[in-house]
Amino acid sequence: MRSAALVVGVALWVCAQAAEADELGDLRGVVTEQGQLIDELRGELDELRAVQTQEGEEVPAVAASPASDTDSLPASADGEVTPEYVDERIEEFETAPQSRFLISGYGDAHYRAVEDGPDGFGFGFNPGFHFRMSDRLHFNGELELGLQRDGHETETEVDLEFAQIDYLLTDWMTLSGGFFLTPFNAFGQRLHPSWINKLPSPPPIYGGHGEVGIIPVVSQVGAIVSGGATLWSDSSKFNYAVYVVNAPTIEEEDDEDVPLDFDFKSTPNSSSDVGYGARVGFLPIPNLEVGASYQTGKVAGSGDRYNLVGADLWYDFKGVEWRAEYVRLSQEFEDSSPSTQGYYVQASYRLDNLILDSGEWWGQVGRVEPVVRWGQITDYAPNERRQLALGLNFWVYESAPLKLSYELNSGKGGEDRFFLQFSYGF
Amino acid sequence: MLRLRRPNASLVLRALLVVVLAATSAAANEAEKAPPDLARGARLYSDNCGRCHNARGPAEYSDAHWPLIVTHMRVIAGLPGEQARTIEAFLRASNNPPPPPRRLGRLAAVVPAAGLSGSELIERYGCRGCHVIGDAGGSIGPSLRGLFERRQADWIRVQIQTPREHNAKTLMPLYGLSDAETSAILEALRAAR
Ligand code: HEC
Ligand code: HEC
Repeated sequence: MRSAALVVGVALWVCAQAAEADELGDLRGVVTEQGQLIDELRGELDELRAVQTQEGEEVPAVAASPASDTDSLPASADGEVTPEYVDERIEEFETAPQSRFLISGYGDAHYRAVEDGPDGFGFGFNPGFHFRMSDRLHFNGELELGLQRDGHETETEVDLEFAQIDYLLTDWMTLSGGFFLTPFNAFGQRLHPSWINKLPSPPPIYGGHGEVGIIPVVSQVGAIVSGGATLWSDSSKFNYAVYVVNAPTIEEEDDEDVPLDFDFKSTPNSSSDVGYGARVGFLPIPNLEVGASYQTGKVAGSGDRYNLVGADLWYDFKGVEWRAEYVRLSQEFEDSSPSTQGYYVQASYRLDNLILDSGEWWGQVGRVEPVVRWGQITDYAPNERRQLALGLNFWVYESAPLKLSYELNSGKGGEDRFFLQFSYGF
Repeated sequence: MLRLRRPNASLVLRALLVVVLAATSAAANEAEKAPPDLARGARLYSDNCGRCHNARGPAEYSDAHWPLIVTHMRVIAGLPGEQARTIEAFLRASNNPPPPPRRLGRLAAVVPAAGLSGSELIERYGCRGCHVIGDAGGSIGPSLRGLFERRQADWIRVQIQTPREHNAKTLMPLYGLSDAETSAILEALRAAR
């Protein structure tokens, strides 16, 4: 008994030593770096001292010369603007210090009226935090605080939207880990913040937050490699993301066994099943992006495979912004594989493409943006849901829209809805 | 259990470390300092920064904060790092407060724009990143074709030198241009039509 304890003790000690040795190596690196930094600083100090003594000597000469005001201006004697002068001024902009920390995010206030009730006010508040640990190592996190009226009760929601560490490995590759917005299609990762989304509600294929959809706007726990590179010119490029995440679980509240109703957030992992996926985006010209996404894996515990296939498109055609996405979710049981699929297409047009802000009141018309979105979902039953959303936005600032919308919903559980929302990205 | 697993884990970690070190040393001279190419920065900004959301103006954040945001955007959008740095340099060069009056006065008085022509200045400051001038340019700002038919020369001068006088939230950079540079640009714009 005692000898077993001794062995374990020794083993632990060895492990600790090994860990310490790693740490020592790290520390040594840091110390060497600091040493180099001190040497550099010393060099700079010496240079500065030299300059100061020179200046000291030149004081009488400067005082005597009325032209001294042109000190460091690399303009030629007759005062031309030389390329060097312009470059120097551009470089001057570069000297400001960097901060390690920034809070940003968004908030919104809205009113919603639903055909058969309940109507009501609501708001959302999503503070985000950015830390710069070094040039290459960054942390980004965002909370989601809100109130949602649910029947006759008002509920407080506190949620973590994402929390991830990014390590910029090379110019074309970043390693990230933690809880990150899944790079599946475009809306979930890139377009859902209320100051970015051109309508107050998510597209019909996206669920969560009381919406019925195929996939939620969601973060998953895992690791991800992402990046991008240029192709044949500066403005044609591609981007990619490849990830491994904890497997989704079956929603726990469900009594009956509804297929395809997953909780993707699953943390901690309830089994050692994983999901993995990828998205590739392709921008042959700067105003077009076509993306393809895939995710597959085992549903935690059950051993059933699930598959997510998606495609997304963004196209800016002479100021008309088109967005479209398709998604298909399926689950492979032994004897069947039910699937749900859907898509949406959205077009919006900002009127400042037609009317310039002239300082006159009617210049404000340029801040108006009409939006139309059409979407459809077909589930395994099969039930069909269709939605036509019409919106009118007024951009108070570039990150602060006042959004008005009317949604015509038909099919299973479809009720028309009216929204008024003011959102602010800060 | 723990002891059995440990060598595997540390092996993986070590392999990862080797990759990381190799990649970082390869990337070490990526960040070499050269004067930022504002023309390219403006074009990349207008190519990339209005894709997911409305483009956010350079003046919204300080030099201290833009690097944090641009890095976040680089990761979300999968932007190549070199392009992200060029955009960052453009943003940091374009959010400056007006130069102190002494400096502006001195520049205005001392410096006639003879070294660089108006069209060279337009290139250097990257006006085409956001405006169509002549037959090429970006679309974040209005096309400058027909500019002189719709605006007075004095108004244009103010717009170029201190765009925030016309729109406090403008996306247009404040370059702190001298009177002479402004005149040269104005003439080049008039010639380009
Ligand atoms: C792939 C889509 C995408 C592209 C391209 C993009 N952004 Fe963003 N941007 C976002 C999203 C999503 C947010 C909201 C982030 C959040 O709330 O965490 C955001 C937020 C911001 C914010 C608000 C501050 C913050 O971090 O929340 C600024 C400023 C900004 N972006 C500037 C830029 C600039 C400059 C570029 C060009 C380099 C750019 N964006 C390109 C998606 C994008
Ligand atoms: C980052 C983008 C950007 C850059 C770079 C830029 N501008 Fe602008 N500019 C704008 C925007 C946006 C407007 C529209 C007015 C506003 O929002 O303030 C504008 C307006 C103008 C106008 C007024 C046009 C009109 O008829 O209303 C002129 C003239 C102009 N810019 C000239 C220039 C010149 C000259 C340069 C280079 C020295 C330049 N701009 C660089 C974004 C830019």
